[in-house]
Amino acid sequence: MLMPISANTPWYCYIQARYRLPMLLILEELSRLRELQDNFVLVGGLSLLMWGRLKHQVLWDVDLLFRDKFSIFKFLALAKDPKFDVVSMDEDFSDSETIVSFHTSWGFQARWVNVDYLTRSKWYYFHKDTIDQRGDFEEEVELEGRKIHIKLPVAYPWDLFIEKSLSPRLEQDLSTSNDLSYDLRHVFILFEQERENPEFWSYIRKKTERFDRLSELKERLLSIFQQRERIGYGHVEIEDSIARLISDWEE
Amino acid sequence: MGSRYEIRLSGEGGQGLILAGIILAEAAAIYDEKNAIQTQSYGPEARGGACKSEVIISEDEIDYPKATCIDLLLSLTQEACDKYAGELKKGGVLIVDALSVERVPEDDFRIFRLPILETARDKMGKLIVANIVALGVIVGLSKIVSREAIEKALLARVPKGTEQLNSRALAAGFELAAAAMESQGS
Repeated sequence: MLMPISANTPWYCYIQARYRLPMLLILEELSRLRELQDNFVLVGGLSLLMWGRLKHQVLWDVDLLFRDKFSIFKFLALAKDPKFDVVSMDEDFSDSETIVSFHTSWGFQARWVNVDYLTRSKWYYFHKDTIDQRGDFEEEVELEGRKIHIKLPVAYPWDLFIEKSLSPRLEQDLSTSNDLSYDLRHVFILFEQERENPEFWSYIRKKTERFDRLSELKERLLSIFQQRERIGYGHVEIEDSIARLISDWEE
Repeated sequence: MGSRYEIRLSGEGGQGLILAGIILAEAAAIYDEKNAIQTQSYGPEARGGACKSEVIISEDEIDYPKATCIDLLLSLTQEACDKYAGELKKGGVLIVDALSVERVPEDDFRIFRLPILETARDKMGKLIVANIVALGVIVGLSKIVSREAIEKALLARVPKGTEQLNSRALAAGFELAAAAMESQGS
């Protein structure tokens, strides 16, 4: 059932009711595991939800970005709280040029949430850099008579804007005019939230420059904006000043 | 249906089958209030172009999240059909794209050869919506979620202004399913 929405609706209320408690307990368990093994960050749509940037209900999953493949091996070997049933969905790691992934599903009282383990070249360090400066996501949630404490390294929205804009998946979505692309959706949601914020643009520029991807980001953003009609975002207005600001980026 | 219903969507990368699986699971879990899980799995068997997405939908609790006895298999490529048809249960539903899948296994399946890719490309003018046409076919044939639920789940994911194309693609899938059921006398 869809929940009534108000401006003050807490982020976890956008998790469908029957999966809300399992998801929060998984985040609490990940907080505990992080104390034992601090080499992953939470990324993806859920991180945007937790930071209050997304306000819609979907079936959320947990994406954990690890430092490297070895870190995933170590994490797989860590004992998880026995209240969860953890099932490996893959027979082996899936290796491609751009990403290594391993999919699992965590069950709590027969309610299953996908928890995916990923590693993507330098992106772990990209996110960790900001988290180290700004701190973890921390919150105590009371739900169904339980106090659930979450303290996790959760990727920051501005970093996700960069990561998603540059992702190979988004490139493919652009080339096929996939208007159902969730990366494009997240990029446009963040863009509309931040478009008039000079600090946002300054941060995007500096951070991307530091990771030697500024020319690529410039090209990609201009391409996204240029093709917005074709990919379902023709209603988003791009002021000349924003297009100029991005065009002026130089490494 | 029995309480647990397992669906596998298979084809090749770029056909949007993982997203189709997600939309189907959201229709079941968010709009029809059933239990659902969608998974994408990769392994040695999934390499080489074929990709698959699985959805389990149940009115009861789902005690195990992996598909073990497929009730409905969609295959949009020959390779996917060859790889995965063997795991379809006897009496299960096999939906294949009429143009790209020439050989189907001879077994105790209900087989539907439907022009899914052709409908997306020629009637909708956009091959990328083949996954949405396929969703209409799957729901039309299986009734595993309500039409209202799949429409809502789809529209919740499309950007403003593109609702019409995606709704038309879904409706085209339902029409293909209705015509196929009529011709099979079911």
